[in-house]
Amino acid sequence: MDGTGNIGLRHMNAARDHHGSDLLRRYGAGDPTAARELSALFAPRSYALALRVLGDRAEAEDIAQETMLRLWQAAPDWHEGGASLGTWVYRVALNLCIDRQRKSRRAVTGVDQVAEPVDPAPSAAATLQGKSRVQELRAALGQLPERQRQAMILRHLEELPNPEIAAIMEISIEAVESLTARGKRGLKKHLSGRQEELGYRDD
Amino acid sequence: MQDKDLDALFQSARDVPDMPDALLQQIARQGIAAQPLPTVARKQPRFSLLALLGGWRGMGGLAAACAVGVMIGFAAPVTWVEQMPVLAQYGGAPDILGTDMMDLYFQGEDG
Repeated sequence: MDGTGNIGLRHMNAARDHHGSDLLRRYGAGDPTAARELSALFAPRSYALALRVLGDRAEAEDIAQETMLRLWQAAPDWHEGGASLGTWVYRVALNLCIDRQRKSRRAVTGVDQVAEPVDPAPSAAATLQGKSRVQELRAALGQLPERQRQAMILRHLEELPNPEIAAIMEISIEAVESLTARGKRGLKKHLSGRQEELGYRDD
Repeated sequence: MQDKDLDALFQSARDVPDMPDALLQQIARQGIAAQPLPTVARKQPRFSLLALLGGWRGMGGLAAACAVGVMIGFAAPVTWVEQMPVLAQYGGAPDILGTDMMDLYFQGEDG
């Protein structure tokens, strides 16, 4: 069910730097198979990231499309020795997600735009409770400072290793560790008050 | 809240459906539309077929592949090999312009 969305970039980088650059070179030379390969490689991952972060399919489609548009535009100026292509794509997609969250918050004055979770009665369907849990997580993530949120998304939603997160966020590995430690504490604090409603009672 | 509870939450959030295939195709088409023209080494054609057809962009991807097939008739063999991936992608030059029109172009080569 996860398909390509859950592979993440840990299988992508280092050895695949060559691959990304080669694809871009072929793309720049007008090879349409390179366009298809680049799409297959990066669009699903961008979509999955956006869907995990924003929880909305239409928005995830926008983000995936916008991310790839920026890739097509950046292709002619792409040079080796900088970030790997996968890192670059992740950075763009994640920043687009964060921007989208920022805008939707401004549109709803002063209040996080998160649906109130349905209060699950003891006999509530598991799926209903499941949806509430994820909504709660997104709300709690939205409460974190932006950099902590980014680090937590990359670490725990995308399951990327710290060196990759550091590359995407353009910070040190130590900084990533600090952000994720603080992010985890912040999330637990926000979520612990809702634990009962999320169904963590001892049965 | 326990670590394991937080982990379970994240696990629920990770599980998302695949991207729709139609979107992937659309993105690929946008990529093709945005990329530079393929570089083709060829002899001067007897008439400007591409100009006649309105250029690569004017024709769109499939028709462009068909034009490539026609251009190969003008070009040196080594170019044909380079263009193989392009044709292969479209399953060979498609009949999108119709067989009659293809005959017309090749008539031009002989006439």
